[in-house]
Amino acid sequence: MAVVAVLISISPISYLAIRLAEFGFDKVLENVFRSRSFELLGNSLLLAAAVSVSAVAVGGFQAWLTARTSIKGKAVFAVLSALPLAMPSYVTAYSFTALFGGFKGFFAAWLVLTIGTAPYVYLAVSAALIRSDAATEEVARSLGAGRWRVFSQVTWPTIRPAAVSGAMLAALYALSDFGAVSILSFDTFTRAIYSAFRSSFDRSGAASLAAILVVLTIALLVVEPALRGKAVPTDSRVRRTSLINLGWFAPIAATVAGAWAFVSLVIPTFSLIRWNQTGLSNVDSGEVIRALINSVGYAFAGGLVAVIFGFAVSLLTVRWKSKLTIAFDRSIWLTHAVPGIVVALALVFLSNRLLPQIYQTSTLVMIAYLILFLPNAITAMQTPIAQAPRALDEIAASLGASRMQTIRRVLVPIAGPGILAGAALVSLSVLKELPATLLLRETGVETLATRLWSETSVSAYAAAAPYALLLVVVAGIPAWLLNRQVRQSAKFDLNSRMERE
Amino acid sequence: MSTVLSLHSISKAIAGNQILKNLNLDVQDQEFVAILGSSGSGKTTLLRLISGFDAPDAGEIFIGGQQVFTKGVNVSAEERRVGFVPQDAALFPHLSVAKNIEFGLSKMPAAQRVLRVAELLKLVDLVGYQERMPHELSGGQRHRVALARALAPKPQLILLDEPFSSLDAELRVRLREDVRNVITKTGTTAILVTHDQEEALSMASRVAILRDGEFAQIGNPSEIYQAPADVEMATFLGDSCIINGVVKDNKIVTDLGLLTPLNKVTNGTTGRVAIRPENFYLQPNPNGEGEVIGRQYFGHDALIEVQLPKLVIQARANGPFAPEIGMRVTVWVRGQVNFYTD
Amino acid sequence: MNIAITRAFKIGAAALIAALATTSLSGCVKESTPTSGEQSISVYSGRAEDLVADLLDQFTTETGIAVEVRYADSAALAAQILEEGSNVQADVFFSQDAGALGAVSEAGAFKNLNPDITALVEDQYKSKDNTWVGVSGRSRVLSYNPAKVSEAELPTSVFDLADSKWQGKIGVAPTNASFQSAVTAMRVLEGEQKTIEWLAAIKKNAVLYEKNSQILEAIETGEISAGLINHYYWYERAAEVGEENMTSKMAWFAAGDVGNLVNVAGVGVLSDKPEAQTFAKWLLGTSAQTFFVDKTAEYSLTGLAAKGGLPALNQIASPKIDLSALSTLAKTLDLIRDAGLTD
Repeated sequence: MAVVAVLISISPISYLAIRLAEFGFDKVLENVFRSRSFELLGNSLLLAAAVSVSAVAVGGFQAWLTARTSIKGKAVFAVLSALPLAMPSYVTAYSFTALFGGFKGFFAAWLVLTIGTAPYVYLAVSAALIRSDAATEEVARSLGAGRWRVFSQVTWPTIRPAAVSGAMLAALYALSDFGAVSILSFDTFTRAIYSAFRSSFDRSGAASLAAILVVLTIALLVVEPALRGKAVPTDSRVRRTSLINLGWFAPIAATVAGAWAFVSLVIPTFSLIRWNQTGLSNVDSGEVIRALINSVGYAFAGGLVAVIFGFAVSLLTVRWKSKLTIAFDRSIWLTHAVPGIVVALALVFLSNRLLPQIYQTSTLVMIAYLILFLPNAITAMQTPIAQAPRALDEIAASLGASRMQTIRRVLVPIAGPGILAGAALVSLSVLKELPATLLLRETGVETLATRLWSETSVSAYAAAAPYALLLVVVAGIPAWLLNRQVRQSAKFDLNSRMERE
Repeated sequence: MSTVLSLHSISKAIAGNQILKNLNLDVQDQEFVAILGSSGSGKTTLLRLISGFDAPDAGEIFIGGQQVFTKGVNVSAEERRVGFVPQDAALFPHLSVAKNIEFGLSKMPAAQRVLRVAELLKLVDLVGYQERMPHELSGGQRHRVALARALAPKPQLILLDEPFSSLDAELRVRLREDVRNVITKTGTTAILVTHDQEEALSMASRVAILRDGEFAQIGNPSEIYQAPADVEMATFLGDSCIINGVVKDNKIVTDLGLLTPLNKVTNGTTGRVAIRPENFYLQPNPNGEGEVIGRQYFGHDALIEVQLPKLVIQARANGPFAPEIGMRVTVWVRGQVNFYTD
Repeated sequence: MNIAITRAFKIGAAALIAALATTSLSGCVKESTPTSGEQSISVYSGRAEDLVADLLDQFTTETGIAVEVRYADSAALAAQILEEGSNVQADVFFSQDAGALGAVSEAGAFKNLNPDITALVEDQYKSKDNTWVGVSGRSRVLSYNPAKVSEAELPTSVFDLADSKWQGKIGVAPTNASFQSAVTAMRVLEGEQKTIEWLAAIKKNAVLYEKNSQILEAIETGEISAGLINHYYWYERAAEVGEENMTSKMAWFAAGDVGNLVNVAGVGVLSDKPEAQTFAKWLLGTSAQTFFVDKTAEYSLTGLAAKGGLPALNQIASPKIDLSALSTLAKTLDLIRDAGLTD
């Protein structure tokens, strides 16, 4: 099953290969080595690097503030940190440009993509902080280490793997994003790929550019483990959480966190509501409800499919760890920076030649979501699965449970919250996904995202606003769930401390 | 002898619960004080206040003569020079043994640092382990590293927070001795927090019993054991049989006969006596009043339950000569007993 | 080992099926699903749903032929049609511009249109090989903010925009198909050298946007003084904010100027279904043509009068050009690219 998942997720590469072969090696090189390509690549890399650094800074700060300090209203800050996940970055980009003329270029793209990716880092780092042992920080302080030294030498090493994988997600997100950068007029590589399709119907040219993104991703995948550092085996026994009293820093921290929430949530929401009120175009409520139902259906099914396959892959890499299974795990990431439209066209091409009966059915849409979001599901699930003690498998086996039964009765319940988080993360991404949905959906099926696209493409902003608002509200549910899951494990830890006192 | 730690009227409430009430304690140089309390007694909270991780609601704390806490003053944990050995050792998982030990030595020149680490490795008997990672160590080794790490910067005071609670019994006993020796050898002042009375009594030079947020009794181990301050203390610290009695002619009249009080008593008062199981002597006697109804055999000794006409007592008997169930015995009380006026 | 693999596959398949069953249960709600037996066609529409959904309903009402429609970007749909290969799902491709039609035509995916359809439209607005036909027209215009540019200052030719006095004041959307086909027209009519020079000047002068609507927005806010857009974007925005609230105005260049290019939205047939031909023909009939004039503020290609305020199609002194030439986009894109306006 994991094999199926891996094969599916790397299938777009075969399409790229076919297109490139058709194109001819010389032309590929010519296309790739234009100086403009390098300039765009530079832009993309700069953006990806900037976004991943700022996402780690913002998300890491939010995680630390809400998981480790005693600041007032941190439950609220926690929700506010996770909620921007619900905001598709093209909506954020639109809402900013609508309010501020001249909001465009590198810094605009940087800000909007940081808003979109910081929550990924926030969630990953929060989980890591909650899992790590706060006692080590206290020991460090008792040994005379100041705040900064405690953070850099004790806290950072334990959250580094989470922060780095969060940064990688952010970088790949920035590399593959098209919507926000195009609205904000910042020329990136993805934009080049889109315009190759859009203006020259040049599928092979686009494919050769997309191949570069795959190569880039491979480079990132190679670098990432080194950056991530050795995973530190943590002691799974008593964990105590001691909250840091910020003192004079508390108002400053609260102001910073509040200001970020204002920029990332209040401004876009305000702008959406303003569209809603200023425009004259009308909304058909039946249309809205149909789109809502379809969106929710796709999101639910997408989440389900992704966690089923994600579970299989996670289980394989966690329980039967070998070079082969690690290669499996890594290969799933290969297509993560490939823009949605390329994945969609690859599936159009492959399904029409291999399985024409699934073309333009929900099945193919689900396969597309699997390709696009499997890595997200696995990131969320792998750690919880890895944390279920292996001894339990053996105990279950000794009690006569088969391997499947063990998975169902032991592993799934234990890793349950992580699995739920994976599903929520994928559902969220599915809700926001546009290019693949647009090309692959069943004819006539409209989702909130596709409706939003069609309304904004004719600049009917008022008609688009309810879809955007609804999309944000619906996507807010899994975002809230994700946050709650992280916070609940925090509460659990607090309880165990109270018992010990 | 100078006072290393001084607590004045310390109070602390957590989430509306008064955890610590008006605590006072002085710890002298090179003393080893154990704070003994059951779970929920607030002993870990007290440690956190001393180390500076939390702040009291009221009171004053002096460490090495310096006021580190009072209203408006709160010296941070990193400046208090108080070593800390937490439960489960809490080694830095990403640092080797040597790096863990030298963590607190960052201000020391490198050459000296190497020497200090070597010295400590020798002290805790872990020479050759300096490059190991924490997860490659056994439980006992980890605790020894944690101790060395805390001792490295030569703290004014070292705090041990239930350091052995996660270890198995045999290892615990050995480690207690090791730790005790290291601390004595280095002349470090130490405070141990524990719920294990055996640990407190065997390691400390002075024991403070924390009950309901207050020090119920402070004294050296034998005082604490032999002269509990009240009836509750007598049952909390070790087992005791509690029997009602009345003072008459400076003797206590009880169901076990006349007993001699250890403490001062006033004629005519009623109260209770506490008798340790090892202070009973069971004389086999077919006509004795008592009948053996329970027997837990431990080898070196045995715990015997005896039914007397009006009460049941538990007595410790010498292993090889412990009476069997059903035997009749006469019960004698050895030496003097503690009498607590009602 | 083999058994293990087989079993793994079985489990995988079962899980997939279970998940997909959930999908179908969760039920994707479609607006209208034609039942079998009824006449129906499938349309890939590069024209936005808001613009043409009512039109397609009207078609079903009038002809009894149900329409299953799939909306997306014209170019994406063209790419999709080409990737579908021999398994093309659509009967009709309704494109926003001639370029996408040209690309599909060039790949040989279109069937020929019946002569009674092609006869309805002037040669200027259809393909030479009868594979596609234009159904509605739009004109390139210069939209300007009267507070920034007086009527007297308006350029008479699109080439005037190369003047340095326009630096930072003019908006274009170089990745947008409408701009690209206008440049193609320039290349075809005025020659490559002149186009290269113009593009180089535009690179210096222009503020770049992704969409026509963004250019118009910038003109409205006064961020830029003028911009090259299609005429109906002005009406689209007017419909959104109210015509009386529009600051910007539209102007045409002098007669015959390439800046006045008229481009078309058009249709091509992909299957042998007779209903597909019926659809193409209906789009050129009175009801559809009236719709284009009234609802989308476009020009009729069969001679209906234009929307109030607009000069009539035959009065726009548009350049004489064969629109089929607009599908020679690749060369244009190279020029735009080399000028540094796009990648």
